[in-house]
Amino acid sequence: MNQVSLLHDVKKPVAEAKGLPNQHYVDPVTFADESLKLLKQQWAGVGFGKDIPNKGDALPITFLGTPLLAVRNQDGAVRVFYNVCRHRGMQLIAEASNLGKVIRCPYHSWCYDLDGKLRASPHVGGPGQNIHDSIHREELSLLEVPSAVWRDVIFVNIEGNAPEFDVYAAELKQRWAEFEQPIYHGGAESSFKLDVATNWKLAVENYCESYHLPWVHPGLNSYSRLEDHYHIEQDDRFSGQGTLVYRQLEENGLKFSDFQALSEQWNEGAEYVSLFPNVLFGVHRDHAFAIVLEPVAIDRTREHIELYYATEQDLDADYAELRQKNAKLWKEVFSEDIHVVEGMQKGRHCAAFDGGKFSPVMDSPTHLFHRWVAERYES
Amino acid sequence: MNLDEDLISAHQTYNLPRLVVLYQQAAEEAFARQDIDAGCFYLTHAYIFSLEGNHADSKKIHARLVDYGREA
Ligand code: FES
Ligand SMILES: [Fe+2]
Repeated sequence: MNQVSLLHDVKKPVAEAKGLPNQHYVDPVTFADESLKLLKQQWAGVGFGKDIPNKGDALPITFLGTPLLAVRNQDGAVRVFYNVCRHRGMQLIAEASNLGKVIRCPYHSWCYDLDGKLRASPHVGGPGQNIHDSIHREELSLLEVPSAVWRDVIFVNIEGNAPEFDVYAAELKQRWAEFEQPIYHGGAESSFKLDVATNWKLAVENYCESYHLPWVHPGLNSYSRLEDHYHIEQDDRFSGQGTLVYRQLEENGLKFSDFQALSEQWNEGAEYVSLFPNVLFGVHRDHAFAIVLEPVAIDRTREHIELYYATEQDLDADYAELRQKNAKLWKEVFSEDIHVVEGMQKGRHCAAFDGGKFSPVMDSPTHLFHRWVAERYES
Repeated sequence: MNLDEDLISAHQTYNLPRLVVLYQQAAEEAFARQDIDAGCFYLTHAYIFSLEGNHADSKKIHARLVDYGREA
């Protein structure tokens, strides 16, 4: 069967559909194609605002081989540029650092301000002559990549073709309108990375379904009872799962603070959503997390996991133990998922596997993502 | 130590404020011997390091380069 009819099967209703064919996980040509259509042409997560907290902070990021530079400018806003000098294409910044007010290229010292404007071009017209008729500084700003920051995740649309981020994320922002309030990163112990031998899509697919919970996360016990979970499905945007039985961590009578003015739904409710393509969010009454899936290679994914709290007080030393406990818990949960996403990656080397048969009831969030992939891939 | 050696050591230790001061000195010496090109060359270096180091002399150096028709 050819590619078109294989993806045709993916787009059928879930009861008749098949999963994405193997080539979407093991074929390098398809991976390159997907990198463009599913990542660079979309709003992909590439980093976190908390890593550039101060004005002048700069963070080089390589995403799918593309050198990017995230900067916090003098107004405190995040901007993302290509990390490349307009002169000879030198990489501008090699390591995270505070740049003060200018980005100086280490090669011939052209200087850009934090909004990307070319401020100085030393000796460009000969020794001691820094201007020249053919050097139009206003045309030589750093090339900027459209970016947005939401829930501390830095999103970029590398191809510059997507609708505004606020439009793309509108339904999720609306769903979680109650959580549109400040979040506070928990610090070093609330930040961890997992290197997983899998295609990034399998991490999305596993995250958005609850079917596996009782089998893969038995330790969550009552929390992972299937009947206490529901699907979250927004065509073309995101999918995931919610729970009705979230229980707050507690130690010696200490609990994390709640986000402000949440409705009753969140007393024991929590939600976990994959915002396509590669960002996974979780929200609870007293903490939240964000995961950026970095596609390192077709079969290598680095999961950047960051935990956030509702008030500054939760960052105090009094809460250190509780924060550690929470981070440990989530690290265990996400680590339990590693063998299944790696196992599915291995399974995709079986030529006889036909994309798989979905559970029409349990797998619809996963199928929604596959359909998103199929539609983008064919575009 | 002479100026050359001072400059080399300031480069080695990447001492931005020091680089700004020393390159201005080098510029003054060149201007004193009427070598405008060399003066502007050193002043340019002082300017670049003043930008990078967010040095208070930045505006002053810039204005001077503009006066000499060397900077926009
Ligand atoms: S390559 Fe950046 S100044 Fe020459
Ligand atoms: Fe899981």
